Amino acid sequence: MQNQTKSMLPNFFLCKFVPARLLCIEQTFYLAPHRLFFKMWFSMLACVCLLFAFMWRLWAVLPKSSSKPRRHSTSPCKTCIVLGSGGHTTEMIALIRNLDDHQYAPRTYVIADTDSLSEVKARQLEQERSGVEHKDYFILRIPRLREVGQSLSSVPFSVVKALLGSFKILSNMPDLIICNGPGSCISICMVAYLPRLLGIKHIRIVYVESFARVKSLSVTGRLLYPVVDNFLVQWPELLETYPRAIYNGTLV
Amino acid sequence: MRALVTVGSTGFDDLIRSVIDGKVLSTLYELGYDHLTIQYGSSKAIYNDRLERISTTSNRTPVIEGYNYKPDLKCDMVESDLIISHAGSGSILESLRLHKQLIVVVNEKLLDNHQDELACALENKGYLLRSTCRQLSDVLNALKNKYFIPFPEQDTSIFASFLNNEMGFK
Repeated sequence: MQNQTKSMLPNFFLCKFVPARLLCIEQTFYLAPHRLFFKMWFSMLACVCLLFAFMWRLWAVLPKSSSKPRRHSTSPCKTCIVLGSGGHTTEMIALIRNLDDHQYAPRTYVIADTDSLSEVKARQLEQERSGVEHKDYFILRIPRLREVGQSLSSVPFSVVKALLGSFKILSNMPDLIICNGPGSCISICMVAYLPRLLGIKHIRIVYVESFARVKSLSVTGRLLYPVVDNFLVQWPELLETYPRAIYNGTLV
Repeated sequence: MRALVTVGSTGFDDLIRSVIDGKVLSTLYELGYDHLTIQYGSSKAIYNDRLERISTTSNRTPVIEGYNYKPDLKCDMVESDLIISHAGSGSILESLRLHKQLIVVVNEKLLDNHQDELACALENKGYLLRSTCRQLSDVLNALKNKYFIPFPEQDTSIFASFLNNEMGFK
């Protein structure tokens, strides 16, 4: 019995210099499973406490009905614009067309790395609005959340990849994120919540639901409805089910 | 007059099948459409198949030309008087902003029918006519006495002023 226990211990415990007491503790650890359970209980309790702290903090930072920004109104607002696939990009370009170049600067366009058309559209818009002299914008490429036809087993990997890629948006700590529904909005909003949870910065998130949504929200919309600061819809029918939404007419 | 059928970037077999149909084509011809352009996307097989059958039966039909996709589809939209479109919001918005007569054909095979909700909502406001693939010739007949309410112009300043207000810019 004694020999068996010894063989289970790492080699360095068996050398001469190890005090007998330490060896004893290790032996009781292996021989007494109830201590293991105690440790497990303790760590589980710690996890639950941590989870509660996290939930409380999340609840504290979730947008309330009257959450006005506390920022200086003359300084430019670092803006992050999430572009997605075809229809979403067309709508987004229309939404931001009238934003002031100097007030919303610099503008970061977040684009999935397989999407070349959105980049063309973004650059086109920037050229139309500002001519040549001030190029106050960046293109940021992030991995796409899910390719069409991707196998389900590889989804967790690409989710992690997309989440890690979304951290790039924090490089210049934007003041504002505008998104309108492509899947990458979710990972970006998750990342944008980190500074808010830690009390570093409140990055304002504005979500605009597509004109195509009359009575029901998109999956992204439903997920982001409780967490974004402003949720805009383009059909008044949606206000009945989603009272926190804002309807100001057709925006695109 | 010219008519345009557009299925969007994917395909829509049922729409192509019901457009290239003796009854629908003769209705179009009677309405004065002597030219029909069809953007068929990935529904090329159906398009060719139907076209072969139709060419032998009648000559009181519009001249038909087709292609799978064009980046400058907008030019064809501008030139046509009637647009028969799939129910995608981008295509609908573009047609309405060009103030074209618009028939939106919903795809009943799609599981998520939010496209149909949009078509219905816009039809109720009188901007367009909604149709299913089967009803297409009836809806075309209704086109004669139909007055389309002009769709409001794009106003991108609404969002800008909303955001200015939220961000403390005045």
